[in-house]
Amino acid sequence: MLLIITDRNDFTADYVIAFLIEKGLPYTRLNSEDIGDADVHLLFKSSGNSRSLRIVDVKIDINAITSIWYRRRFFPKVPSFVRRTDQEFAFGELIHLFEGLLPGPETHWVDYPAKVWRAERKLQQLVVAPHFGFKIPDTQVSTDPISLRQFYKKCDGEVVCKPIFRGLHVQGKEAKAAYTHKVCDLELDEISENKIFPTLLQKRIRKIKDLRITIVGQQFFGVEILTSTDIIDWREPDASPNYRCFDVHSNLMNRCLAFLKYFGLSYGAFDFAVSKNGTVFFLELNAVGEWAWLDRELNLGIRPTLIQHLYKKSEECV
Amino acid sequence: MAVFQQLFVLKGALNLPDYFKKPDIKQTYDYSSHLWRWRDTGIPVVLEMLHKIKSTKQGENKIEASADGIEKPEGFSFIASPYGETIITKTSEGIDQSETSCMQASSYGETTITETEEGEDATEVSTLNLIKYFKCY
Repeated sequence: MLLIITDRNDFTADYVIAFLIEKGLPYTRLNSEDIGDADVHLLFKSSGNSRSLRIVDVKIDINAITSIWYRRRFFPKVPSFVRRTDQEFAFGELIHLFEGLLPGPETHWVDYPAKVWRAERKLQQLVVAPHFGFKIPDTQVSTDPISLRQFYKKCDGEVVCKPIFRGLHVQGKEAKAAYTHKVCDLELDEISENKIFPTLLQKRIRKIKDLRITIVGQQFFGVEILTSTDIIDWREPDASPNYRCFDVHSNLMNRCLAFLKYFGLSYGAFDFAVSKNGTVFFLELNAVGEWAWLDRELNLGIRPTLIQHLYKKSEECV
Repeated sequence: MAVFQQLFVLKGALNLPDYFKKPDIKQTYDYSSHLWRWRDTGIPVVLEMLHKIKSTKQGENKIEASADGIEKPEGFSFIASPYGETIITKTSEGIDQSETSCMQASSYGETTITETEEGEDATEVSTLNLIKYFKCY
């Protein structure tokens, strides 16, 4: 039985489930929103244990789970009957309850949360990437405005700024997206002379294209992403990227696989930028990166490959 | 007195105006299949998306059966969001992308839904308004 850990809004899970139903493959789904209201029955004994949940009328027998597709981390909704002052405490209890009741890394996870969390740290990636033969853009993270200005000058003003964690910023009832954007003189002049919050600047790659390489197990899905040359981040609303399949060179394949193996992952979506002289720069690895939009756009076959991978026996995938 | 700074990385961040938009009441989550379905027909929303959907001039959506994987849907598509996560976009030819409203969710591979149907009442025509309430991890 495959368990999909996600939330209700994960439409990519629907996209996969539709196919599972068609193929008659057993699955169940655990959404963050539902776990606060789940009926829980756990029994631990020296002789063994039983672990089951019931959400609405659906029973999930944890002991029957043979593989897990980890899409999104748990973010439980605390039941409304819990006092407001106890909500934060209850939140922690629910997190540990559900993370604790699930099978360990010996089960076939795609991929195991602790490994995903580590792999998702962009700075970790920058540290590790050169050891696997990836070229990375010069990058500086600093709290010192003078140092950032020096870096900017050293790069002849060809510098971008990007978040260290993620681009989504929610503030009360307002949400914003911080894309990778070009830094201009004025912006740097405006910042305080004093210590500032840690800021990541990276030398801008004058690129001819981006690459998105999605790996499922040992299968590669290479996509070139073409935008106009003035676009820094192809995810910007105005970018209008064009997508084209390409065959990933064996050299690059091996590096990607080794990188994934280092982090203990069997799935990953790599982002690269190709400069005008053909140099391929590693930008980042998305450990649970999305793929469905490309699958639909180019008919890549990621969905059946992923399903095949999810239903592999755990021992084959270690 | 404390002096507050704007984070440098957030300079120029773009608004996601519909981030907190409420869900489409025409859809419901089916716990037995774990799929979103239309309340009236029971058809999984995703199946509809995988078929060819054409928007009429009146803004009504018509579903035309097509072989999955052969023709991509014209009405809906997955696109990439700012953070590598899926966005489901309802697009119509000629719609100015700057009109696009965007909603998205979490940090670990979340789904974002974008609507670009211009000048229409979203509560009436939003067939993929799957984002319910959003979370930030």
